[in-house]
Amino acid sequence: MIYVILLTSILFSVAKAQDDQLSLGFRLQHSIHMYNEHGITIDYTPKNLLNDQLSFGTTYVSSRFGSASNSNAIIQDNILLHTTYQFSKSSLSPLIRLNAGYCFADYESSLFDDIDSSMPLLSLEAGARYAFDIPLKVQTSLGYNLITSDGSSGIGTVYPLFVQCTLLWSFSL
Amino acid sequence: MKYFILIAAVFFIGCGGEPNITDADLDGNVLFDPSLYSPDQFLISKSNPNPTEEEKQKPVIIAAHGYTATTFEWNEFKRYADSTKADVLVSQVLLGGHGRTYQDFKNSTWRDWQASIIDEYQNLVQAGYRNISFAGSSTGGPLIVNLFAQSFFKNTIEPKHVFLIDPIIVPSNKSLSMIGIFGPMLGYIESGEMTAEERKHWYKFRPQETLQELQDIITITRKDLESGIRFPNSTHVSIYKSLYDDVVDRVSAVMLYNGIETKSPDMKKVSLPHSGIHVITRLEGRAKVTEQDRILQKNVFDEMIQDLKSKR
Repeated sequence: MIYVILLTSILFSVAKAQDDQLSLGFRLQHSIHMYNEHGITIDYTPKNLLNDQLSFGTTYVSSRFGSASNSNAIIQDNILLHTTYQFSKSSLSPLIRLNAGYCFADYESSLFDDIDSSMPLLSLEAGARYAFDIPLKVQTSLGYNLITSDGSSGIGTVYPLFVQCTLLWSFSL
Repeated sequence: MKYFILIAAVFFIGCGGEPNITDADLDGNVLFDPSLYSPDQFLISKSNPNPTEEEKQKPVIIAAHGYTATTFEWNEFKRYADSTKADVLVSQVLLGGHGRTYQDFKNSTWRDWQASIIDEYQNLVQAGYRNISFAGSSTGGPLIVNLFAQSFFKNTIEPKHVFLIDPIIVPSNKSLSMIGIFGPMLGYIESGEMTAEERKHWYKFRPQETLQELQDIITITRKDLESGIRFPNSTHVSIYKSLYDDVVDRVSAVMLYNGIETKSPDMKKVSLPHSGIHVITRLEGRAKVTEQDRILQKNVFDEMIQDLKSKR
């Protein structure tokens, strides 16, 4: 349901776009007491929607670009749809963000076929965004995964608390 | 949602006081682990410090219990090995800080817990035993695996086999990862429902300091496994991890299996039984045990004994 709402919102906004903004960037994420997962993110800010303070996007982060790079850490790929609300248009602004998506793990052996290798993700973030004079933005936030494994289902390496830093370069459409 | 309840509880309760310990709890000043009074009934280095040449070649297995537990956790295996005349010597170590009082436990670190395992191994080597293996249940697992990560066995007798029973690398309850934030406010965490028998052999109250120590040893071991832990050439490893365990996440088995490097791939085994029991080898004292649990326990014991006897 969350995905449907997010997608509908994005499509609705795209259809009405005038001087909308598209941002591309890198996301660096660290789960407290678990993995580093890094990847890319795309953010779309429709013009005149909540005073240009609401954006939508998608993110892909993976341990394969973090802890699992050259190590035995479990490879896990996270694909997220997200919506971000920034509280002001000034260069420094608090923000909140909702993420929803899926995590996929690769245990690299058929011995572990009985263990779930995918699970839904739902998380909230609170942090701040700083916009430079050039079209570069930095977002940092503390996140909380509302869904984690109970040891008997899901992926055990999805941990509750995480911190993230995103660097975004913006383009006007 | 359970984390929000935990957080709310922290703010409502405020700073944790001292737990309400009764004389029926191991945590108090009345009950202690029997190995403290009679170490010779639990440790092979104490019961037979001067083995004959034949006894030196017999398999000895150092069995280490889990966090808050005591030697009781490996009683059934010892009884089984003795009753089947398996010719396997079981040495049950009591981890440092365990089996004593709440305060002793609170003051202990994971290195204190591990020290008992090291002491027994060194005492057995000094006595002349040559066929030494390890079994670790739950936290006993990372405490043993950490010795290999530290190359502890580089210039000494190589262990023959390591058995890991529901070893913890990742807890089922992920709120442990936030113990550094909320622990100081909570003070301690009370265990869930325990039988009267379990209260005699497990601490009921978990000081937040020891939960932080637990978090430390599992994080250290996870990172060592990510880098790869090379076992000595003659050391085999068997991992048993129940699939529906509410204490240890089953992904722990993946991390251990992928992170431990043995001389050849066939020296490494993993088994994922469809059980909901944490520490499948301990059934005594549980509120509910099924016939299937008993069959599983016997199968694991038989496999362990067979593996130990095959390495004479």
